[in-house]
Amino acid sequence: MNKNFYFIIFLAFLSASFIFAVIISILPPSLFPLAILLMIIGLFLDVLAASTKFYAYYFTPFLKRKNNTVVLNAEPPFYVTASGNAIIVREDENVYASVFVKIPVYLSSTEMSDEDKLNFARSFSKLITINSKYPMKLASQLYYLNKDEYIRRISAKLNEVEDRYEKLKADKTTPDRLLGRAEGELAMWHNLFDGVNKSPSQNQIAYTMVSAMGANEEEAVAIAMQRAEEISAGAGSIFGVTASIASGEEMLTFIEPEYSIPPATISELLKKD
Amino acid sequence: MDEETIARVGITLVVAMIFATYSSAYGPLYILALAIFIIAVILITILSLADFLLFPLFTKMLKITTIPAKDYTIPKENEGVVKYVNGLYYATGYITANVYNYVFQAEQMTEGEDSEMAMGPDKWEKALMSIKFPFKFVAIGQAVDIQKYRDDLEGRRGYLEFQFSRSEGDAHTSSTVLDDLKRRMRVIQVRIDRLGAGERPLSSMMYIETTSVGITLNDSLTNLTQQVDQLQTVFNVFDLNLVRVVGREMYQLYKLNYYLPEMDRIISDFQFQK
Repeated sequence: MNKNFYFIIFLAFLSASFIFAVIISILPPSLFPLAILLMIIGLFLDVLAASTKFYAYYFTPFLKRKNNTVVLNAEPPFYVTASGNAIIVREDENVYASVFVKIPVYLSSTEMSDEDKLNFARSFSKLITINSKYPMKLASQLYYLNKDEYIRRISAKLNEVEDRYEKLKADKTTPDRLLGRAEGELAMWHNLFDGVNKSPSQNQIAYTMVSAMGANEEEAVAIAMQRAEEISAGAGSIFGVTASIASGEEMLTFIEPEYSIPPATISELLKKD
Repeated sequence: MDEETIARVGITLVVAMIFATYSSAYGPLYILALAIFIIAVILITILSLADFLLFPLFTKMLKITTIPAKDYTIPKENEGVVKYVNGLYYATGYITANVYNYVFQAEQMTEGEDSEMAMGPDKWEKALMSIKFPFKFVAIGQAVDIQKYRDDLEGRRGYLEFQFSRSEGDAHTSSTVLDDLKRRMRVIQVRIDRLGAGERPLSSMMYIETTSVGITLNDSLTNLTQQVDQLQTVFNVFDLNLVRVVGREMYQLYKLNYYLPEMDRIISDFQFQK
C-alpha cells in the first residue's frame, strides 16, 4: 500500500472524528451520557488518525491477527536473482534490486602517520558523498568465519596422520627416527585441530550497498548494477583497492544472520558459554 | 520533526480541541470529558513525537508478536528481530550511532575537528579488538545538491545579518545576543567556505547492528542485550549518542538490510531515535 493510500486512511479517521464532534454539538444537553460516549469514540478515531503517520502499515495486519501474532509479510524478505549477485525485494507494486560491493581495505592505523589517518577518515566521507542521486549504505562488518571446510580438511589430515602413525607403530621394523617424526607430525595436527576449535575466528570487511527501483525485476537489477559499478570504480580510486560486486554466500554474509554466525561456530560459542 | 508531521499533529490536536469546546454537552460528566480529552492529547503527542515509548508498551501489554517476514519474528518486547533457522535463534538488535554530526549538519563547529577525525582509525581498531561477536557499523548517506544547499546557507546568513544590524541599532540588546548572532554567522560562513573548498554536504544516518545466537528465543534475546550493552560501552570512546533502537524504527532498520528507499523517506522514518 502506498503513501497516498495511507493519507486517505488518515483523512478518513480525521473526518469520522470531526463528524462525531459535529453530532455532539447538536445533541440536546439532556443526552450527556451519549455525548460522552460519542466523545470517546471521536477522540479514539482522532488518535488513530494521528497514528497513521507511522503505523498505517500495521492496521490491516493487526485486525487480521491470529493468536496475538501480527503477520506483516508471510513471504521471505528477499529473493536472490538467478545470477546470484543481487537481491530482489517487492514492496507494494514496486520492485527493488540491491547490489553489494566489497571494499577490501587492509590498512591498519598502526602503519599510518597522523596525516594518513586523517585522510583515511576523510576517504569514507568522500565515498559516501560520491553521488547525490541515490542513497548508499556503507558498512563495516565483523563476522565469524565459516571454518567448516577448513576444519574438515584438518580433521581428514589428522585421521590420515594418525593411521600412518599407528601403522608405523605396529611395524616393529620401523626405525625410531621415522616413528618420532610421525609422532611429532601427529602432535602438530592435534594442536592445530584443538586450536582451531578453541575460539571462533573473526573477519572484518567493508562493503557498500546500493538499491534501485524498477518497473520489473530486470530493470531494477540493471539500474542497481550500473550504480554498483559506479560505486565500485569510486571506491577503487578513493582507497586504491579493487572493489568488486559480491555474490552467492559472500553476499548473504552481509544480509542473513546465520551466515555471519555459521553453524560451525555455534558449538564453540556454546562451549564458551 | 518534518513539516508533514507538524501539520498532522496540528490538525489532530485541533480536532481534539473541538471536542473539548462543547463542555455544556457533557453536563455533570464534564470533568470526565476533560480527563478523556487530556489522555487523547497526550496519546496524540506521544504517537507523533516519541512513538517508540508507546508501541513496545502496546505490544507488550497485548502480548503481540509480529512476523516481519518468513522465518523472522519480532517478540512482544520489540527490542530485536529474531530469525529461527536450523533449530537456532538468531536475534538482531540495533543501536543509534551517529559518529559525528557531519560538519554541514552540526549546529556548532567544534574546535579540533581534524584531530578528532585523525583519531578515528585508532579508536575504531581498539573497538574492533575488544569485540568478540558479529556486528556491523552502518552509515547510509547521500550527497545533498550543493547549489541548493549553498542558496539555503546564504539565505540564512542574510537573515542573520539583518537580525544583527537591527539588534546592533537597538540600545536594549545585550552583548550576549550580539555575540550569539556573530557566532552563528561565523558558523555559516565556515560552512560556505568549506563548500568552496570542495567538500560536499551530506544527508546521513548511522547505526550499529549486532546479532546473537541462542538455542531458545529467550537465550538469544538475553545474549543480544549483553552484546548491545557491550557495544554501548566500547563505542563510548567515540563520544556518541548510543541508544538501543526499539519498536517501529527497529523494524525499519531491519528492512534497510534488503533495500534502500529514497533518502527523504529514510530520514523521515527516523525522526526520533537517531
